[in-house]
Amino acid sequence: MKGLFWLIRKDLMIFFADRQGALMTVLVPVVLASLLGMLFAPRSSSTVLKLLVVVQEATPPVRDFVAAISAAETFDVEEVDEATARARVGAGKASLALILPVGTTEALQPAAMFQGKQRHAELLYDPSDDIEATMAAGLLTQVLMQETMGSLSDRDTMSEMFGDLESDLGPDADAQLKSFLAAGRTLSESATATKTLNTGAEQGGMQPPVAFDRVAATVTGVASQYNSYAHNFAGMLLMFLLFAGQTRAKHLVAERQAGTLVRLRLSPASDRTILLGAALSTTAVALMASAVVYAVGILVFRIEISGSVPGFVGVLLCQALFVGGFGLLLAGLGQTEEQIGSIGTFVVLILSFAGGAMFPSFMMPEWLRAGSQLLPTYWATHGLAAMTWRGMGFSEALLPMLVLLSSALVCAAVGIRRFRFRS
Amino acid sequence: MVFGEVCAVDGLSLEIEQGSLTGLLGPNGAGKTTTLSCVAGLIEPTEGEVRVGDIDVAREPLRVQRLLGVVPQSLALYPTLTVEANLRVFGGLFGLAGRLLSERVDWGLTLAQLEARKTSLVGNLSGGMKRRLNLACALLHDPKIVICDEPTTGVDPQSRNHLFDTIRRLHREGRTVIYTTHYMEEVEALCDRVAIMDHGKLLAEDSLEGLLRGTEQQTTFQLKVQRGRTVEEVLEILRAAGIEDAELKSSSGSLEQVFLRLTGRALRDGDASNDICEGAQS
Repeated sequence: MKGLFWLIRKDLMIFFADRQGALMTVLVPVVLASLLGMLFAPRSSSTVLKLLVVVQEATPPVRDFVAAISAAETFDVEEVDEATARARVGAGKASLALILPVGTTEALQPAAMFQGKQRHAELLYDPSDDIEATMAAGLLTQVLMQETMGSLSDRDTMSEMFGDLESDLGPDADAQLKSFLAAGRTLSESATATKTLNTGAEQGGMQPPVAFDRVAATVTGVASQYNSYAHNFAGMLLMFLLFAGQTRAKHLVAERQAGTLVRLRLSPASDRTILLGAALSTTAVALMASAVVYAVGILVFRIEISGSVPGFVGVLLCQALFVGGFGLLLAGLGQTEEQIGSIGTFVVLILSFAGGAMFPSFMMPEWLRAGSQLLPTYWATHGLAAMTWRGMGFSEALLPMLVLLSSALVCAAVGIRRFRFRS
Repeated sequence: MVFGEVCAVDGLSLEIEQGSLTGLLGPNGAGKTTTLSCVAGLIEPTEGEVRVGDIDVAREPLRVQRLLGVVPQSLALYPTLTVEANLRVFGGLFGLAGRLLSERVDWGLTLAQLEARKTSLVGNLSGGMKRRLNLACALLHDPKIVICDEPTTGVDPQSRNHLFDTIRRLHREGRTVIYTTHYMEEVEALCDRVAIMDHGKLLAEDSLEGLLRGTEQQTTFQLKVQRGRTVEEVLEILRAAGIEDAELKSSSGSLEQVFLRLTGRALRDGDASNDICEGAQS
């Protein structure tokens, strides 16, 4: 029994001797649980959807409708022209855009609810985010109905509406319907008519005057090219490349402990060259892994590089360079393999999660979505999405490449500065 | 040379002659490895300078490293690579390429007597085999100066003997050899000059004979006699030759000599699989 006590005590002493490792043991699950909880928590009523609105018929009713959408707590509205809306949603820079076409004014008249003729308004959405589009369509219909129904409380409007409906009826219209409309007009002229509205319409009853048709927007306009595997392959590849960077960092520290690093230093290669070699070997591994993963994705899962092929290769290359720099950074931050294991796992999971490699960014809270743009992982997944299913040109790959390259240089510089060649 | 509050090497002034085989002797922690690290340009001295020929090591460490072949104390090898791959990597790092690299790799395999094991993973070699390979990797670029930092740690007598033969050969070929150890018998067996260090200071530096002359009041000879002679008979002969103060002791030699005589001097590479630490860096 005493022996068992000392065995346990010995292990606990070893565990707490590595304070960093001990801290990470509790910190990693707490942080990850918080982030995942945030992700899967029910959306609160204060969730705001960014909505671009294109007004093609700037009449007072349409303006009133847009104002009503803006007034709703669920939408953050920005009015733009159609080209801008299509470009921004297609590029993934906005997730929703509503195009109110010519004819919307007529559709917003209360009578339109009973005329059985729906107007169609395009609701452009990012194909990777169809949940948000479905939600937006429902909320827009709600705003539309509230706005249209609200006008029915006005006696003159109601009277005019019943008059219009009566005049629309042909000579062979149903006598009962004629009688109903006449009664409705009489009633609206003498009192508030809102209570009578659910009793029928010319063809099958009341319906929303505008249908919000969800249209997946891409730069090329080919919605079918969206492939959910494209996102998952990019994300998982990135996450496991970062883990490969962590493994390389461990090897570098192991080389220091084994003595091979001393032998490398005894060669004419400078210390910087040795570390640069380590980073570039990680880059080479990352490139090979990327080639294999995307080969499988393209051949088996029909991922298409609809955008610029040089851009796609460029993003993958810069991503691989970033992974090389990241490995060097970890080697500089951790003094032992255990430290690199704990720090690295934590950082990789956070970078992958917040950068959109694990889950699509639309699932994240707005503040995290905005903050994630500071991370190189965001630009890696964004760049690969742009070059694959978004079908964008080389120019759209430049910013992700620049961010990844800069991050690689910063990580490598810090790693080289902090790395200790002696234990 | 100061590390924090520890002064590892203190006011050392040592000149090593070109073509000599100098033993740097001292107990653990004497400052031998730190001294050699300064010579190899791995550490910059906090004070003073180290020169190799006319080259200032601190200013031109890379130029010096081309002249040096350093055999580190640890087994600085990649256990998951083959013997040949290790030689190729370290040869390539010193700028060897193409046919020259292949020739030097073959030379290294012969030197380490590992031709038959060239495709074996280093992790599967015995301790002695790894030590020999460790030496060969340091010599691929044909250095003018060879620094051996306790190269016999953990090796069997056969491999040690092989290492000694190799070091003697390197010396005969005109290379300058610096050999650090804390085993007196290794220095006696190999070196023509000896420097003794302790607590970071140089205590003595001379030829082996010079050092022994200063400390010994008597000379010990080894006398080999044919079987059948008794101690009394040998003493009788010595006295008859005028050597009155001779003292004769019977000795069966060191344990290592006995071991080598019984087991032979041939290398035992085939026994690696019996090693309890097979695969480990011993």
